[in-house]
Amino acid sequence: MVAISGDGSPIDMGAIMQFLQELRIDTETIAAITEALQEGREQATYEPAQVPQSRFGTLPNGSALGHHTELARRAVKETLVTMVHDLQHYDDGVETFRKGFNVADQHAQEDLDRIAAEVGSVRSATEGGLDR
Amino acid sequence: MSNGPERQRLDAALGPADEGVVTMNGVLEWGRSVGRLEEVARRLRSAANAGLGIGGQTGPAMFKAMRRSADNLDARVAEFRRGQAALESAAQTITNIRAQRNQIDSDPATAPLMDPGSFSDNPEWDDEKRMTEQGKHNAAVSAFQEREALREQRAREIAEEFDRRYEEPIAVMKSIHGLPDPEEPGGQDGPGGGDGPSARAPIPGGRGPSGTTGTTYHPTVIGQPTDIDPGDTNEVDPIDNGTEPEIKDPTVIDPTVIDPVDPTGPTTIGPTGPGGTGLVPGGVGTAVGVGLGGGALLGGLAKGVGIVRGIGAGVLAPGQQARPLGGLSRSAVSGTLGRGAVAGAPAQARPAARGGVGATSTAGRTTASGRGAAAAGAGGRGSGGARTGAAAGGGRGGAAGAGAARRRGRGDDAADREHYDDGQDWLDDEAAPGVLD
Repeated sequence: MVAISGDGSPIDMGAIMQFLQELRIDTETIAAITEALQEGREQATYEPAQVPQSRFGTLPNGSALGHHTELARRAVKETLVTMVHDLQHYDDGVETFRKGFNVADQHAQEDLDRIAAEVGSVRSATEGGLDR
Repeated sequence: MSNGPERQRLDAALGPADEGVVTMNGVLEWGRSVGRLEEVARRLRSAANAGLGIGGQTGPAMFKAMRRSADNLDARVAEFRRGQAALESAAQTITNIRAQRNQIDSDPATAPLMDPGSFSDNPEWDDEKRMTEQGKHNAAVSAFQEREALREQRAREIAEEFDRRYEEPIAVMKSIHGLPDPEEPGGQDGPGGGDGPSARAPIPGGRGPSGTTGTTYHPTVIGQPTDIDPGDTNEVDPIDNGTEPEIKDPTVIDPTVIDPVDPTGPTTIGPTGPGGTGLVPGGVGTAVGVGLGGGALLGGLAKGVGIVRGIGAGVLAPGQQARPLGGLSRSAVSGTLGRGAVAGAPAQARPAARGGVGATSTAGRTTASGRGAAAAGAGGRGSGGARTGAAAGGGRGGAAGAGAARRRGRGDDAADREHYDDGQDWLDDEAAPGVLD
C-alpha cells in the first residue's frame, strides 16, 4: 500500500507496518526473560567456603596446594559475583529495551495517525476538487 | 616409642591435614558453587530462548549474546569441576597417606621394636655370660637400628608420595586462577630450605654394611610446626597474611574519545518537532522504533554483560578507567566469559549508556529521517552523556542506531577489538544488519 504525503512524496505504508510487526514485544516474553535472569542471579548469589591452608598438610606442596586452592576459590567467588552483576545488566538491558520500544511504538502510532490524517486530508481535498 | 626425624616430619605434615575439612569446605562447597553456575548457565539459555520470541533482529541478537554467555560460563564451570575433582583427590590423598603412615606401625615388617638401650653389665656375670649377653644386646641393637632405618625410609617415601600426589591438584588450581607462581608461601620448607633433600637428617644408625653398630639411637627432637590448627575451620586467611601475590593497580585504559555525533543527524529531511510530518520514505516511526530497539537493547546489554567486555571499553567515558575484575589479575569474569585480563564496563559508564537510551527516543522522535533519526539516537546519547554517549556509539551501543556515529565507531573500534576479542561479534551485523547498513 502506497500513500502520498502532503508534499507529494510516496509513503510505503506496507513496509512501515511490516517493520513494526517484525519485533514482537509482549509482556510474557519479557517476563520470561526477566524471570530467568532473576533466577540466575539468585543462583549466583553464593560464596564457597574457604579451606584453611594447613588442612592440606604442612609439606611444601601441601602449603602450595592450600595457597593455590584459595586463589582458585577466589576465582570461583569472583565468577559468582560477576554473574550476579552481569545478569543484572542483562536484565537492565532488557528493561531498557522494553521501555524504549514502548516509547517508539507510541511515537510510531502517533506518526501513523498523523500520516493517515494527512493522507485523508489530501484525498478529501482532491475529492472535493473533483466534486467541484 | 621414639620416632626418627623422617617420621616426625611426616607426622607433623599429617597432623593438621584434614580430609574432612577439605571435603566439606572444598569438595562440597565447590560442588555447590559450580552447580549454581551451571544453573545460571541454564537460566541464561532459558532467557536466550525466550529472547527469540522477540523476533526481529533484536531477538536473535539477544539469543546469541545470552547463548554465548552460557557457553562461556559452561567452559568456566568445566574448569571449576576439575578443581573440585582436584580437591577430592587431595582429600583422598590425605586419607591414603594417613593410612600408609599408620601401616608403618601396624605392619609386622615395619612395626617399631623395643629400644634395647645401652648395654648393662652385671658384675656377677662371668666372661662367657658377659660375652653372650653382649652379643644378644648387640644383635638387638642392630635389629632395632635396622628397623628404625626401615621405618624412616618408609616414612620418607610416604612423605615424598604425599608431596608428589599434590602436584596435579596444584596444577589444576593454578590453571583455574591463572596467576603466575607466587613467592614460596611462608618461606619455609621450600626447595633448598630446611626440609630440602640435602638438609634431611641422616638416618641414625646408618643402613647397610657401613652403618655403625653398638650405639644407641636417641632421635633428635624436631619442633612441631607452628601452623598446627586442629579443628579450627575459621582460620585466618593465610593468603592475606603476606603470602598472597601482590595485586597491582589495574591498568588504566585511556578510552578513545569519539567526537559527539551531530545530534540532529546528518540526513535530516523535512520539518522536525511535534508538528512535523516526517513524511519521508522509511518513516519516522519506523526508524525510531528500530533505532531504539537495537540501540536500547544492545546498549543496555553492552553495559555490563561479561561477555561483552569489549563494549565495556567502548562505553567508557573520558577519564573513566577499565579495571580488572576482582582481586585477581585474571578476572573470574574474563575466565567465565572467555575474556581477557581487562574486563567489565565500569559502573560509572552504565548510567550514561542507560540515560542515552532515553535520549534516543526523544532525539529520534524529533528527527525526521530513518537513518537520520537513528543517528540522532546516537547523538542523543551524546547530548545526554556528552562525549560518553558518543563513545558508546563508537563502542557498540550506538551501532544499532547506525548513522555517522556507527561508521565512525567501527573504524575506531578496531583497535579495541584486538584487546577485547571475545564475543562481541554478536553485536556486529547480525545484531541489526538491515538497519545498520
